[in-house]
Amino acid sequence: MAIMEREIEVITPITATPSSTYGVLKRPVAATGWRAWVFTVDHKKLGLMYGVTAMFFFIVGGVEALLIRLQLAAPNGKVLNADLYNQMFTMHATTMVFLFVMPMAAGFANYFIPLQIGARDVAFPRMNALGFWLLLFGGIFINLSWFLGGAADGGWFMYAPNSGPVFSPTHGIDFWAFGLQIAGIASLTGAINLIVTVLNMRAPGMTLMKMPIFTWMMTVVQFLLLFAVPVITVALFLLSFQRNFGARFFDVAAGADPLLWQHLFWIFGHPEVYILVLPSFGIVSEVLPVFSRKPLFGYPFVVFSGAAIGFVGWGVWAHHMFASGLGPVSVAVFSLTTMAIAVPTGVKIINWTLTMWGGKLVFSTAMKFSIGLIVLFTVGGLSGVTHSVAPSDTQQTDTYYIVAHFHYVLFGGGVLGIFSGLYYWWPKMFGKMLNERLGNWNFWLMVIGMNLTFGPMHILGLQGQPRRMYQFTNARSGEGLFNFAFWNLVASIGSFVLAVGILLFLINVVITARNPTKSPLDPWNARSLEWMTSNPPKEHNFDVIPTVHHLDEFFHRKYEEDSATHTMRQIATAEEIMAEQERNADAHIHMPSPSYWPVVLAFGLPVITFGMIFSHLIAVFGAIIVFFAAFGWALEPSTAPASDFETNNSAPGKALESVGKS
Amino acid sequence: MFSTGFKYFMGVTVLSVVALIMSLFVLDQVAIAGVALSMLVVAAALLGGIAVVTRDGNRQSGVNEQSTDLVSQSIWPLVTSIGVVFLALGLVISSAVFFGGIVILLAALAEWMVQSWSERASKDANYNASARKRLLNPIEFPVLAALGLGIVIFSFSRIMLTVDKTTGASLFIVFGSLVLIGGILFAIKPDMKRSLGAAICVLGAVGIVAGGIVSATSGVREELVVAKGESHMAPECGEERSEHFDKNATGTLSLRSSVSATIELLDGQLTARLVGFQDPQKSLTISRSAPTNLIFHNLDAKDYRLVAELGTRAAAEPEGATEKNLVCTQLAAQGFEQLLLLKIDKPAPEGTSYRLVVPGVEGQSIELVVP
Amino acid sequence: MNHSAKHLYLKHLVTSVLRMVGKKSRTLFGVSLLSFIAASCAKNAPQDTWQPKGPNAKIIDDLQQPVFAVAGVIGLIVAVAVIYSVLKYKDRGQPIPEQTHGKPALEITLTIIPALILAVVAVFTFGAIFKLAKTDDTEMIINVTGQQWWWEYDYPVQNDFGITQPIISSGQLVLPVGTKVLLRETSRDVIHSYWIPALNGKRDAVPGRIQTLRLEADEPGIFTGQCTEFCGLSHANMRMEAVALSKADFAKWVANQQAAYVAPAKDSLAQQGEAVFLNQCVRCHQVNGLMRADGTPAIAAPDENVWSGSAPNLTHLMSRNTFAGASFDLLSKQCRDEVWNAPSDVIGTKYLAGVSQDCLNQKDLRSWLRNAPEMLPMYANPTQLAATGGKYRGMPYLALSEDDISKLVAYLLTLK
Repeated sequence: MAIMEREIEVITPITATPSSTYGVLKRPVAATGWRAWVFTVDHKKLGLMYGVTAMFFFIVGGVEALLIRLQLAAPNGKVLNADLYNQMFTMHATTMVFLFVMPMAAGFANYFIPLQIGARDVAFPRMNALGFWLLLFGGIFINLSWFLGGAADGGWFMYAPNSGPVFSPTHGIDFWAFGLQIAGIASLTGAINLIVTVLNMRAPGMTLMKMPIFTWMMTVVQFLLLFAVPVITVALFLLSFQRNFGARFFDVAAGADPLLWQHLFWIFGHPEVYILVLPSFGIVSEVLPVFSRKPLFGYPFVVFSGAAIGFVGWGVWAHHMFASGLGPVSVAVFSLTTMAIAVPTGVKIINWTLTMWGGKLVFSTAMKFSIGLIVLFTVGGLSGVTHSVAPSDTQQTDTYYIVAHFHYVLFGGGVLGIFSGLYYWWPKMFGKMLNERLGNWNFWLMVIGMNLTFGPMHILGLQGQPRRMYQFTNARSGEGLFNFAFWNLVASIGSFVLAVGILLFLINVVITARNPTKSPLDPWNARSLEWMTSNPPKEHNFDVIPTVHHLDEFFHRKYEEDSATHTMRQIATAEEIMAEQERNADAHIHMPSPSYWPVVLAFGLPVITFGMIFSHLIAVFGAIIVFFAAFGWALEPSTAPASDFETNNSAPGKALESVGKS
Repeated sequence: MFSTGFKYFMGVTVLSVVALIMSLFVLDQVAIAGVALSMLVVAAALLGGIAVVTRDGNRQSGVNEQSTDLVSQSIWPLVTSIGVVFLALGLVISSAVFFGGIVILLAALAEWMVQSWSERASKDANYNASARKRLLNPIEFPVLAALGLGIVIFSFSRIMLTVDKTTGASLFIVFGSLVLIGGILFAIKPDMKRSLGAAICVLGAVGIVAGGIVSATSGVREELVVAKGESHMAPECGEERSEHFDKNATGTLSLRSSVSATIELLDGQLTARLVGFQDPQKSLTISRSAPTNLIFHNLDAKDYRLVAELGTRAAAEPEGATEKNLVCTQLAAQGFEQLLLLKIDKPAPEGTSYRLVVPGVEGQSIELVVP
Repeated sequence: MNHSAKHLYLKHLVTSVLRMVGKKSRTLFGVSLLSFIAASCAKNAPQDTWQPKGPNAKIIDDLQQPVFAVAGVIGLIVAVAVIYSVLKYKDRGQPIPEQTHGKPALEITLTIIPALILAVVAVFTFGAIFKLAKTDDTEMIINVTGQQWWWEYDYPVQNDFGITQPIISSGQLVLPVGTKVLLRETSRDVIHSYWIPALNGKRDAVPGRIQTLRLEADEPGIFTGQCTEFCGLSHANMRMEAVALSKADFAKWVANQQAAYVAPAKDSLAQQGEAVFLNQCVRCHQVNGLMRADGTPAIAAPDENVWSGSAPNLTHLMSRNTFAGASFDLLSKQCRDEVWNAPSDVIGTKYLAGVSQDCLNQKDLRSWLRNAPEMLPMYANPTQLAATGGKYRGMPYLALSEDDISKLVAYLLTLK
């Protein structure tokens, strides 16, 4: 329902209420209170809800991580038993990947893509809402397993046949598989939605090569999601059938090959890695130029290297399987492709560094996180290159060296980028700036904590400590001071430093919320379109859709190059630009109305899957909910006929309205 | 607020839900009752929903006096009566027809109700039509599309089951090309008349359905009839009864690179090739209880099969009797391969041994050592 | 920026990096690198991946050392460049710089350099991959079968090494030094991974597949490893030990493994233990040559009781240093250290001495017999067997009396 393109004459924006043509199928109209959130289709509200949900699951996953580190702080840890430990690391990974980083990226994308491309909403607002609710309910559903007999215990990679009903008799993996299928629908709808939005709804003049880099990276991510999620869905489908309906896709005694699962999982799983880090690459590529007062160095290179990562990312999955016995030819090929993907990744690091080079660097917290990302992600990237050397990888794979590697990539790359984005865009989202001094502490504690936690894991891995062990023993930890026990203790201490750092962020949020000081309109002297509106943006984003002439349009409206000296001269302030916009505000703005159905439909799916696990009759009720929600959705006046919006017309719509109300 | 019809249907829904839950506790055989009651729940809830949306199809007092003039033609009385006929016929002929009748009846009644409601909605016939569409199209389109596509796909599958393998492949290519050409045509001429496009699609669908009907009446091809009677999971070890098994089974498996051994038959000599052993072997160690894949590669001119002789096992009858425990591959023609999946739980009893043999090749065997 | 400016820019970059690396930083770098290396590999960690003890591990090591070094240097260059720009280009009130959008020539150069480095690495990687995948120079074959949570080793008949009948062992892989051994790995239940870091990288044992791994030890010694593919509850306890013996010692070991069963002396405690064994243990555990009272051979039926269909063969249990796979030591701490820390010329003799009564780790063995599931997390609890149709995964609680345990221990001690 790409309705933003339509221009309908209305008296004021927002108040255009689709008619209550069919009585019970009115669209909700509340603009305040909880209804305004639960039934919203506004991309900004959904973005914030994505963010809050992600933060919640970040804390859940973080607590799981701390329990893991407590257990491993000393030899023969007794904090968790083997079963609980296996559940803990499975759910830690699942939560962090699917319920924290992905939704957080989705939140940023939702909030900022329309703003960055000068649109008033996404292409399919109700589908957008559906995506959020599916993610939330899917996440809750997966975590329900903690209270219903135990969570999934097969590792997030869930290798067959260890994931079969014989080897994991609790319902944990059922919850996991169904929950991820639900969350997968959210990713798919979100991907389609954002791709259509980016391709169709950019402001006039904004060619693809004038599009902000964050939007570019997120677009690559959406394409990755679009093709990766169906693969994992197939795998999860097979797994669900194996566990619940006696299928034998991975039953070796029936002639199956368990490597099928590994291929399916990693064909999804490796692009997934780029799904997790590319959003942060996008954020960093926004933040660095702003605080260097210089455009992104080699914008086209960054764009195309992002796209290249998106393509080559499909050809490297088997490097997760170098020890699986693929045969030397496959191993050699995947070794080569893995080295190849290091090149575009390296291009990004080079470009970020050169963006700072020769700039005028302002060290805000956001900037610090971005610089931290460059260095720490480089460490993760380089340890990744050592894995591409397949023979070497057969020594390091499934040891803590890998754990160190991907935490440098996903924490050093992904999470630092996310925090950079939070500090950078907080004034945009809430109209208040996060406390910079606390931010400084937050940054340093997180960076020190993360290096203390994950740095020693390199050494642990090289010393030969395998992953996923609920205990390590003194007998295998080596002699001298710097043995397993020492480095594990350091890592555990580091994890608590890291936790304190993140706690500071939460404290910062509370303090900022209580602080009445409003942020300036353009606190960072920013460059892209999202800053060309109020903080937080109005519901319709822009009073007038800007016409774009430059990459970094906003900056070029504020500054002009002196042709003689090549220095930049300020010609307008953000306030002046804003006032200019308000003077010329569009009279015809039509925003989509809220809807009941996304949340109802999304609720039906976990009911179905709950029924799949416990009683098929419950599934029938879930199906009824889904059916009626879909029915209501289709019936709801979405692209309502013009008559719905015309108040002065006595034609049928009016008459029908009274029918409905009787 | 809630209409009478809605209350009625919701009452039925709630009662049937209660009945459903009761049946779970009371009945041992929940399958049939459960399905029937669930269906009732869905149907009643659906009708309740429609009732509340359409206000029971009631005309509203004083709103649209003239709207009764707009009553249009309706097909639903006819369809309803057809449903009734099916219902009655079903009682005599078969339950499938009976259920078909119920579905037709319910659908027709729902359509009828919505139509009569929409015709009184306003004075504008066009508006009324659009109101009906908006209410029912979300259900009609998916159902009709599923039905239509289902018929086309089913017809296509009948054609494929009837024609022989080569023709089937060619037909597939032809159909694929036609679809592609059609797509190209649409792409080149986007302003083509919609009716023309629709005509092409309908023509294609009708062609397939017609082909499907013809195929269905002439029956599936011979080899499938034969193959249906055979068990392919546990091939017969004696005389091959069918020519219609998978002739080159390993071609479809991902196991080729890591099987336990390849058993080769060349010039009447049976040898085992194992990764790591330079020379062909005459014995093969298999861990007990480990699923083990072997490939039989026949290089001799006749068709042969590989048979694993694994001692004896209890026969189905008479009680106490034993029979030879044999596991076999299908026949492999010259140059072809077949797969054997073994899982041996116990070592051979003292003084006996397990072995692989090829019936028809004398004096050749490979010992299976199960330590 | 024009051409000469670009040139200057590059030169500036290089010189400043060099200047940074020079002086203090160089010492600092040297010290930190040394301490890192010292910390990570100098301390006798038994599973250290940087201490190859055989040609296969050496191939890997020769490849990874330079790769790690190159990666370290590149990382350092990036870090220095970042730190340099942070220090140099801090906002000190300088004007907003020129809004340049990049320099394609520089970009392309900086793209090609890492690509070239990687190309060189790739060449050597390919060589190593194919060297490590060779199977046609094998001198000895050992079948390795993984299951939850132990490894079974069986040696097919190989007359060159005096193996005239199949040998089955578990817990410790015994191999002759200087011999190209090829493991043929598979699994009976889930995927496991076989890894002796001192001898080679890891290879997964996948059910239904046979996968190969080359091993060769330069000198006699005991090398440890661990299952590295997550395999369920006791994954952390699934250990392996590879014992490399001189060729002469290996021949002795083979002879001992093929020695006939010696029944315990009449009326000894051990003989009562044999009766307990026949009553309880033989349901799953095979002892080759063991006869029932009626003179028939006692054939274990683990397939009827254990999900994986196998339990460790105990025929020459006391020739091993470990039990329950390699989860626990069969030797007491002191005796174990004596064997493990022995110099390589006598380690074979010490190892072949096996486990004597004095050296037996009575405590662990008795606890294991008393209540195995308490010592090792397993699915051996009768309430957890619904999914497996009543079969255990791991050794269950057998409710043996202390008397029976003493008898069993006495009997097991006779299984030299």
